[in-house]
Amino acid sequence: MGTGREASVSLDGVRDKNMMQLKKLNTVLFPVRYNDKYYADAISSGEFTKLAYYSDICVGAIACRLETKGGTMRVYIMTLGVLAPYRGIGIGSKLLNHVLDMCTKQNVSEIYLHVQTNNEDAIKFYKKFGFDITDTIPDYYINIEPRDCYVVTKSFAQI
Amino acid sequence: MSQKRNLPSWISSRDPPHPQPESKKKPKDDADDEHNIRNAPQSSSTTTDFSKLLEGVVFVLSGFVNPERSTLRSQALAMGATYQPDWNSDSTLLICAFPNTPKFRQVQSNSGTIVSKDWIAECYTQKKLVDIEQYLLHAGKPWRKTSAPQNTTIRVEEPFSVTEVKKWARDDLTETISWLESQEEKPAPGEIKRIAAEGVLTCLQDAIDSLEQKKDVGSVTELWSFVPRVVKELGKMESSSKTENSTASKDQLCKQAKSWKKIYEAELAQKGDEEEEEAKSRRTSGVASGYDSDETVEMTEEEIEHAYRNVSVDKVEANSTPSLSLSLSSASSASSLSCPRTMGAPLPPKEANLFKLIVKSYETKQYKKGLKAADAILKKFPSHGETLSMKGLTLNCMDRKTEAYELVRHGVKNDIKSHVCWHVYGLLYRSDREYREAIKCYRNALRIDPDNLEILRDLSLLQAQMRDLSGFVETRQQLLTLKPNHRMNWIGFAVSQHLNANASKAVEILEAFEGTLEDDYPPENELCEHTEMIMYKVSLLEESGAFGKALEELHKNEPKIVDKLSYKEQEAYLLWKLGRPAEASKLYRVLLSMNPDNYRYYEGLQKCLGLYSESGQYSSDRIEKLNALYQSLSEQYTRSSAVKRIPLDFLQDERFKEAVAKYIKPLLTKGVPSLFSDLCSLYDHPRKPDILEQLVVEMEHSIRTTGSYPGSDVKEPPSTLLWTLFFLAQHYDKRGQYDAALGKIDEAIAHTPTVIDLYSVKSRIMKHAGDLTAAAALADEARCMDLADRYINSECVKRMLQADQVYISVTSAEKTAVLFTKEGDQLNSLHDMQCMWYDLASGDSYFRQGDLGRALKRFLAVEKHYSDISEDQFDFHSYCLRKMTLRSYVGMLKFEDRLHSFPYFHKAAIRAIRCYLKLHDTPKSTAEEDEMSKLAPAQKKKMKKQKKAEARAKKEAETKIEESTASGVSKSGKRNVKPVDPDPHGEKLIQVEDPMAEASKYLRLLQKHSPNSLETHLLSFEVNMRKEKFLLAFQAVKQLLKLDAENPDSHRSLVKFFLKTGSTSAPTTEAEKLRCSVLEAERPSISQLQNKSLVEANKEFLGRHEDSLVHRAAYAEMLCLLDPSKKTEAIKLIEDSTNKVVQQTNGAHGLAREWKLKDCIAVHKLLETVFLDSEAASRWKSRCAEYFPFSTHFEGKRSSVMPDSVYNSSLKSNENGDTPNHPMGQTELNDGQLEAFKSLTVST
Repeated sequence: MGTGREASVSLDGVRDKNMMQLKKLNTVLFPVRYNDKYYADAISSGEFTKLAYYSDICVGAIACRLETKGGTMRVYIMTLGVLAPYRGIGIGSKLLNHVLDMCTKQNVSEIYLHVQTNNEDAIKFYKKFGFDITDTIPDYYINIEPRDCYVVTKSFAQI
Repeated sequence: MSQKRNLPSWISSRDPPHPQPESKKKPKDDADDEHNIRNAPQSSSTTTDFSKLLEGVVFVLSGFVNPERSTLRSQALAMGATYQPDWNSDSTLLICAFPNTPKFRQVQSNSGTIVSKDWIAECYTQKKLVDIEQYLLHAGKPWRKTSAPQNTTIRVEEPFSVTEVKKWARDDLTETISWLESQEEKPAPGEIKRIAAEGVLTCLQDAIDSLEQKKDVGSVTELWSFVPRVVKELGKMESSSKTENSTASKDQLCKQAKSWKKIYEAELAQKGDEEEEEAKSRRTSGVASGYDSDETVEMTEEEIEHAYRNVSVDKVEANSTPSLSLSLSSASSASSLSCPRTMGAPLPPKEANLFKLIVKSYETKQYKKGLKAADAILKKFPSHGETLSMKGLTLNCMDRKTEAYELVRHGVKNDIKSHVCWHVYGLLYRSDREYREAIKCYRNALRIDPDNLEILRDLSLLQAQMRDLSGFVETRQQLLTLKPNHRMNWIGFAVSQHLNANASKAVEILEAFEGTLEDDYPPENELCEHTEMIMYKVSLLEESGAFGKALEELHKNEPKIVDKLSYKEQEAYLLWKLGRPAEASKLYRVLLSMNPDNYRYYEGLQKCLGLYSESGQYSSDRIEKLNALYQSLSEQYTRSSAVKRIPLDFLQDERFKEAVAKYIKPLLTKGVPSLFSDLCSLYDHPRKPDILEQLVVEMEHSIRTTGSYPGSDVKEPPSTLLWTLFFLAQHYDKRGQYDAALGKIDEAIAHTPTVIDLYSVKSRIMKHAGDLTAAAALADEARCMDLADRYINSECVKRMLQADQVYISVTSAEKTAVLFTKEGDQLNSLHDMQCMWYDLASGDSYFRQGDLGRALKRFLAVEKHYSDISEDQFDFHSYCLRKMTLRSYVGMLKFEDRLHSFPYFHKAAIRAIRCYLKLHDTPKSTAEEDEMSKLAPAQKKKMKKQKKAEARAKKEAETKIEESTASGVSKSGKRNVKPVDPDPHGEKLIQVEDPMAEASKYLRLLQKHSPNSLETHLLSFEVNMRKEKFLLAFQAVKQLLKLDAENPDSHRSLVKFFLKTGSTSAPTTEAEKLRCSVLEAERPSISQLQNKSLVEANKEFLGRHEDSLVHRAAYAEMLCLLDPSKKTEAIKLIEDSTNKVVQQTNGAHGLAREWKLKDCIAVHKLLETVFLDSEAASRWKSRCAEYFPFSTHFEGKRSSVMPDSVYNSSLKSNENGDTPNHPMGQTELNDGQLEAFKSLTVST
């Protein structure tokens, strides 16, 4: 889908004051209701959680959680999504690229996430950015079919 | 060249154009120039040689233009002075038109002496040397050459050097002390020095006094056992000059004595310093720790003098705080030590200095210090009036009002002849905004001291504030006469004349002032002020209709005007006014090239081209021309939006469609949420809304199917569809098709649920559709999406108040409202911010819920805001004249004059009157029970709950107040604690004795400021009927008929009035008879009645408006009123009304019907409360529920009162914000698009 003209896409952090934007997005994007811990993690991750604005409309978001494992920092992508009408114009890539940039800047050892096994588009998308399927967790989901998921990971070479 | 002074003849004091008030009347003999004579020698001056009066004076002129310049020069030359064109070392005196000319500053820095021209003029006319002192603009080196011997006057130079005199002072002090110590009754050792110093000074003052009274100094020395050196010297000089036997010599001597006295005072004060230091340290250690030790309590005379001079010259004008520079002459003149004190007698020097200190402390806001000084004086002279007054004034600033009034009144009583006391009394009233009283006090002060500049200036400010315009003119004129060398006084006089509707006089004054300016005026740093003055003058000329002269003036001064934009605007306007449209239109084009978005320039251009109409209606021929004009303009100014928007107003049909499509498309693409508001005005046109609808619906369809606008290949961004839907939703809302509107807005929300405006608009649609609860819930949802946005927060509060959620629910309006206030006293802070929309909306809510006290409280708060706003102008009366922002100043004054006609005040006053009407109609004791019994049980419960909540809130508030006062005290001492509102719930307000009297108060304001509002007269009718003031009520009826005779309420009032007056028993009293005869005479003049009965008139009214619901209802109500037996007929008439479908070009989205929701609710209430027919009411309700499915009032099936509604308060949407309109999971997870993806996690 092409656009009539170049619309600017910009990113903005998540704060108390605009958290409802993220909630609104999640409500329509995902079949799961997220609890307060999700939002607390998102806010405390700082630069790793971003809202994407398409000509001043909030249309997508990436939300991560920072984890430390054995002295190194890991990033877990909790959610990444863009509203349906605004897909296909590179907003998701922009969000993910931002987080990957942050990872290199902050010496993150690896970044990973869970994907439902049948979500081929998503797997394809992440592979494009150097992610690989590293594990499969059976019965990860309770309410949706298929219930299995992959763990998709990208490791950063430690310098 | 007979010009005596620089004042034009029509304002010279000789020939006053206005009758002088009594206080200013002067004895005939000194009518020539009263203020000069007062201080000038009284005796004849025949002894002086006129041609040698100014011998030895080498003068320079500054700030004068011819002919005045040459007049002054020849006058001075005639008196023996020498003229020099420029200042050099030979020059002795600069004669200056006003301060701060370049020469003035030069001479000032060379410490030369500067005098105003009046001195020359006075000397010339009086043919004698007039005392120069009061004409001095700057005192420097001697103004006469010392080498020139003068036999007519004593030498002015100091015969003894200052150090020598200082030595005398020290010697005198020691000698006096030793003399005192040798006496039998000697004072206490600690006091002796002070008393000695006082003695010396008093003796000197006595000598001065006697000189002033033309007596010999010798007479004083005889009375004193110890004569200080200085007095002896005076005596010597006197006897040596005796031979010349001129009174002038005594004056000179007196002057000499005074200057010596100053030296003495300084020296003696210094001498006493060491002791004072010691005493002070003793004192401060004893005083409580709260005393600020860095405040120097004692000051030397010089310091005081210096500070005082600064304060009196600059600060008085510079400061907006009430300042006073009291002339202290009466307080500082001396008396002998042994003299018994009498009321109002002058103070001895020490106390006089202390008194000056009080004044100074007051000016510098060091109140504690002032209070101390006052107490020190009062200890000795407990009844000294001026000190008492000053103490009072000081206390007033420390928030001790009652004491202050007591003291000041006491002071005035003790010294009723003191202008200081009266001035202080005036200031006190002024600080309490009692301007009328303050004016009276000032007038009293002026009666005693008619030429006191400070008091005159203060008085002029009050007169400007009170719009006592003729008094203002008078005072300003007097100020100018007294001090014509101040620019501000000229300007002030001109402005006063302007305000007093005499623009041409104001121009004359400004011209006279300009005549005093030099050619090189203004200096660099005053260009802006000068521009302002010229532009003001031009606007005055324009106002007086002299357009040609205005233009001339403008052109003449072009190089001096720095505000080039105003210059061009004014020029273009004047050219147009003068019938020179070609030149004007050229200018407007220039202006447009500077700012192509200024609508006024377009309007001006259209006017010049003869293409402007007030109504916006144009012939097709002119539309052609206009279109061509804007076509060419839009090619010129491609970035201007005004040039694209304006044609939409005049274009028609196809042309319009084309233009509006061109206008809308880029804005929809860009995403401009305000687009609809921008186009809203087009909806008044009969055909344009249909065209818009057709157009935008086409766009929506095209974007949905092809992704582009009709007839275009360019793909639109995804947000275009969103904004198109958004526009359509508002469009249908505007046309009353709420169903369609909701459909569109829901679609938009499903498309992009993160756009806040969507929820705001949906909330508005719900409000219009009659579901206030849902509207409030939606507004809250919008609010939650951006907690940092004050606007949506306010909008949410307003919706909550409209839904009457004042204090019941958790997310109550009050809690939301204070989210954006400062922490601390939350609702008070809303009040401080003059948040009027909140006052009105919450007042309305309280009113609906029957809480008249709180409602009144809120409405009266708005009234208070308006009086505050009017109060705020006070500071500008002096500020603007000084800063020369004249055009804005006059604009501000005019704005303040019509302040009370502004909508918020209008609304508040109307609502307050309604509250009072309700109070009047429900007797006090039973009001509450009545209220309860009328309500349905469910509502009763609600009320009870509400009462409980109220009690709880009250308790909370009380504890909070306690806390805050407790913490406030600990933090900031006793100050800064806001007085706690003694009546937070307005309980006292509803206890008012005579509600109708209160209502009349506001009614008068409405009648004065909103005479064209139907509601004003409607309320006047209601109030006056209750007060049985039938003639006033009749007047209201006549006004109503004049404004809108066909309005149902006008009709109601008419019928009610004649029914009431016709039914009262036969007139008994004279007044009643008179009333009847007036009404009888007037009745035929009312066309609706003429010779018809009320029943007939009512019928005719129906005949004229058979199709209108509101008119039918009015008819039915009156029918029933006139003949209660026809109630059934009346109800049937209402029920037989039909709700017609308004013709729509597309009927796809539900039908818009004629009836308005609010009218139907009014009819419902009429059936319920007037006809008391609950069956008919419920029939009406179910019928209206069909028409208004969203209405909560009619319990429509889609409203939030329905148990299955998502907005039903019991299951109101929670703050997690799941919008019920698009249930979760609707969006597909794995939609087939290429890069769409989803990562799902469950938080671990």
